[in-house]
Amino acid sequence: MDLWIIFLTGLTVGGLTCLAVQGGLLASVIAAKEEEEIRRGINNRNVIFPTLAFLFTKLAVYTILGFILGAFGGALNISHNVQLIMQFLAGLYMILIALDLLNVHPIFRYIVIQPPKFLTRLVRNQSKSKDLFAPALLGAMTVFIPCGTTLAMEALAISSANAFFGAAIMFTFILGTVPLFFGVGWLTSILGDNFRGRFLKIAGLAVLYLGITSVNGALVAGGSPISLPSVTIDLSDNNILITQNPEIGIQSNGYYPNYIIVKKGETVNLTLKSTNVYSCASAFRIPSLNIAKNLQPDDIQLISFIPTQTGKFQFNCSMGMYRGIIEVI
Amino acid sequence: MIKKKLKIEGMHCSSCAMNIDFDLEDLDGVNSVKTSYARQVCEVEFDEKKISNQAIIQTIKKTGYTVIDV
Repeated sequence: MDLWIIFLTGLTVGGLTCLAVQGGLLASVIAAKEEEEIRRGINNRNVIFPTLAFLFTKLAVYTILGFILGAFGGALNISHNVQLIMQFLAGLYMILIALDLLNVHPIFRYIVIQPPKFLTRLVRNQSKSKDLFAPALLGAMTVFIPCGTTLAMEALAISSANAFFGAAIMFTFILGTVPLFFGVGWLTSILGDNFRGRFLKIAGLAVLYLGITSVNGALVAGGSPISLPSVTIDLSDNNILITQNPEIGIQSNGYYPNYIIVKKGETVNLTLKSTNVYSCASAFRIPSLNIAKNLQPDDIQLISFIPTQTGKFQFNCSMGMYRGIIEVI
Repeated sequence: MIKKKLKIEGMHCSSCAMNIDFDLEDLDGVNSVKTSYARQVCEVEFDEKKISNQAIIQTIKKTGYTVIDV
């Protein structure tokens, strides 16, 4: 999972667009609370506490949302094809959002779903509350007013098809938006529109990258002949043993070895061993043989099959990000 | 009550549209506001006895966007 790219997206555009509307709401709720405190004579002019409360609940609620979206994506996994179509569409949506961020054509603005009026009004009213917990509640309610980039991230969380990956995606993205709430936003307003434009470009490219990776992954995992060339398969290792009992070690960043050779017509007992894997690499697939196995972070699983055809068969993770080859001779 | 359609320039996401709505709704005399990011248009209904067209445009400009009166 490209969590760094997601963080960068949050840091640039997510932060900016979130701040544009949520910064104003936060300021409004802090002002409402201060007014109440001045009236009661207990005001200590502390803005850090409400800001932290706001950001903390926001982060928590979005992480839970990511968890639910990932689980929802996983529930579609009854059929592997449904999940791949979902991933393909999510990737496509991200590409369209990126084209909007990059300001390619006004038509792409229509891709951004604007939250319905009753929800925005609900959030707005909350920002006028004088309650002690108002900032925290407001943070939680920002979940109802996502911007385009947030929607793209939510699509990515669904396509991850795993509750924990989904939670990690949303957590990382929202974490990336946090710094701008602490004064960096003030800096960008001074540096002006030029700077904002550049921020949007960086974010646009990051979302574009995520979208293309997602679409390409869906094509790869679906066994499509058209996909971007992979750089992950290194075939330089000449000392490949021919064995019917191969073992593939799974790590967060791929499969080791990623090239195994087996004989045709004899049972293959393939051992999968995962160590500390917190990425989609733990969802092992051999599309052409219709084999799917999901592993725990630390797990050992056995897959048995009899290859009936010679040739090279690809194995990959469920999102098509990590891959390798089984050669049948 | 009159209804006006204003063309807005400079919105870069749906949050901007929300911002305009929030700011205008706070004005006395404004009945309803609906800003669309996709169409780059703000539809505002207001009581011309309480607030002027110019005051509405000024508010949007202060939020940071360009207004073209249609």
